[in-house]
This record gives sequence, structure tokens and C-alpha cells, in this order.
Amino acid sequence: MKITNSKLNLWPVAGRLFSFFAAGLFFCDTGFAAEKFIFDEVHSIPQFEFSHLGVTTQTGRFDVAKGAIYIDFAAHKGSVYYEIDASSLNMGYGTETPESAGYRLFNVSVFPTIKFKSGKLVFNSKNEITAAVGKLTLLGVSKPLTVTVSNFKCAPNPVTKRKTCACDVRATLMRTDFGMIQYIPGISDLIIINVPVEAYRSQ
Amino acid sequence: MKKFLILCALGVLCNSPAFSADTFVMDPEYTIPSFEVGHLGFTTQRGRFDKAEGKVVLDIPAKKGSVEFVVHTKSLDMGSKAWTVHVRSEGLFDVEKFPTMTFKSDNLIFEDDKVVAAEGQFTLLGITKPLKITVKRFNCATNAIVNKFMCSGDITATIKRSDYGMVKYIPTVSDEIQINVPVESYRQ
Repeated sequence: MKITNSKLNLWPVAGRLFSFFAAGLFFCDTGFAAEKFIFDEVHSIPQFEFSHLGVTTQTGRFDVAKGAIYIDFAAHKGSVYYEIDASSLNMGYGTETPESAGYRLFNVSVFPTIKFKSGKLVFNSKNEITAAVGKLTLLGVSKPLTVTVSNFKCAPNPVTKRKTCACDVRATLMRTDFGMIQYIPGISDLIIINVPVEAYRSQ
Repeated sequence: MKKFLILCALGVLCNSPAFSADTFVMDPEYTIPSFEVGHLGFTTQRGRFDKAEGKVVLDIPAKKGSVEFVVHTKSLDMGSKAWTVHVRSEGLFDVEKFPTMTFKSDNLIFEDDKVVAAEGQFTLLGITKPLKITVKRFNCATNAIVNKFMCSGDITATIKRSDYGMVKYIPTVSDEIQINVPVESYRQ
């Protein structure tokens, strides 16, 4: 799946239909002044926290994710799309297999991606994004999710010199809302998600 | 004092391990250290060491104990393979030259019957400095799944990496590092 706001003529019919739909979803409010920023995949890796046996705070991570954010600073509007490769789950204790608890929980073979989409970015008076109101799709179930954004900043990347917008994203959810009911309460229902985002401006 | 020393020599009242102390071995699957670092003035990035081991000696009635924790630096995993190789390399964790980081303490700090902190020595890149760690959610109970007695907690600490000679990329990559270690340890 791919997002584009131009070159529709290069897509096959189905792609065009999707693009039209996606454009309607993402750009009906943002107009043409939006700048596109593509997530740096090395530095935009999602991590999640859960309580284990009610006693410790354990973390897990997905090593592969991609996304883009469209920002119209003048209009204080924008959208974001983020897709996680569920099979890149990495808990730190060896390669995940179809039989391992992690792959079973995320039902990776049936639901290979976890997605977050938002067409409503929240700005403060300093032109900083503070939240994104959207939908998370996990195990094929889509539910509203608002993520909080802290440390939002746009500046040239000191290494690559490319214009970059960056932030730390945090969200909490109850996994049972998405039908992920195994191992409760040994693995908590409440999940905290942390995603650093470094997104460079598309040329 | 003299009486104490005699008793200590008999192994009765020494700091650790006294006879009433229990030894707990950390479960490596649920004792995985991670760290947070400020990146380019932009984001909080996280890294993790997948292989660590340790043990805790606890004498809760005497409010005493000790801990030894060893992190195998070659197990560093940043998520991206290329970035992992970079952070393992010389100038950063230099894992070939310094294959372990360690934390040792024989001064556990209690509030009532709970460990809330530990004062010890942290060794990184071969340099040893005092470090106080904070223990949250300290808890001892039988894990009914495996029917073993477990003590656990969430450990946090903050270091300045420059104190240990790891100065590369400061301040582009932050000097201050936040360390998080969940610990689940079972009584032997």
C-alpha cells in the first residue's frame, strides 16, 4: 500500500481508486500547501510497554515500520500514515516463530501490518503538533486512537542537512479493544506505545 | 563492636550474605536492559541489550543485600542492523574491547521491607564509577505459573556517558542516558 498525492496517471485502475479515496481521506482539508515528510525508518521504530505478571514493565519492539506525514503549517492541518510490519516483532529473546507467544498474539500470518492513520493533526500556537486524532488498525480491527506528540520540532538534520520534522509520539490503548485477549492478566491489557519520529522532507 | 566482629567472623552478622539471606537469579528473558538517548536534538531513541545476567542476595528482615549484574555488550540491538553495528563500534560501546558492562552493589536501600534503591559501582568501557539506581515496583511473591518464589522490580538509572569516556557525538547525541531494567529473579 502506498500513498501519493500526484502522478495518479501512473497507477493502475485499482491503485487510482485507492489513491482517490486516500486523497479524499487525507487531503480534503489540507489543500495543496502541505509539505510531505517521509519517516526515517532507522529512527522511527515503535516500541511498546506492558506489565508482565503485574510486577515488571517489559518492552517489545517492531524493527520495521514506514510512514509519511503531510503538514500544512499555514492552515494548521495535516495527516499522517504509519504502517508497522508485524513480522518484525523483536522482544529481545531470540527469533520469533509462528509458534512463539508474540507471533500468536499479533496473529502475524493473518494480519501482517499494524496501521495508524490520522487526518486531524492538533497544533498549538507555536506551530507545533501536539497530537494526532486517528484510527489504529490492529488484528484487522480499527478503533479511534489519539496519540500525543511531544518535542515537536522542524529543523535541518545536523547530519544529512535535510529539512526534518521530528517528535516523540506516545499512546495508550487497551489491547482487548482490538480483540487481543490472550495471556490476560499475565500480559497486561493496558499497552503504552512509544514512537520516536524523524521525518525528512520529500524532495 | 567487638562482639559484632566476633559474630561477623563466625559468619552470623556480616553485611552479606548472612545465613538468612536468599539468593535470587535473574530470569534473562524478563531482565533485558534498555537505554534512552536524545538524538540530534530531535527524538528519544532506544537501544537494548538482549543478553544480561545477574543475581541478587536479599536478607529482607535485616534490610541488607547485594546485587551483581553483567550486560553482554555484543548483544546490543538498536533495531536497524546498520545502526546496531555503528553503536557497537569503537568510540561508542566498543564491544570487541569491552564485552561487558557491570553493576555491583552491596548497599541495597530499603523502605520497610521493600528495596527502593541501590548504591554501587557501574563499569562501562573499563571505567568504574559510583552509581545509585532506583528500584520501583519492588515485589516478592510466588509466581504461580512456575511455582517459584520471585522478587522483581523496575530499575532506572541515569548516567552521563562522558563520565565513562564515551564522548563521541556529544551533544548531537545526548550525554545523558536513561537506563531501564526490568528485573524478575527467582529464589534458588
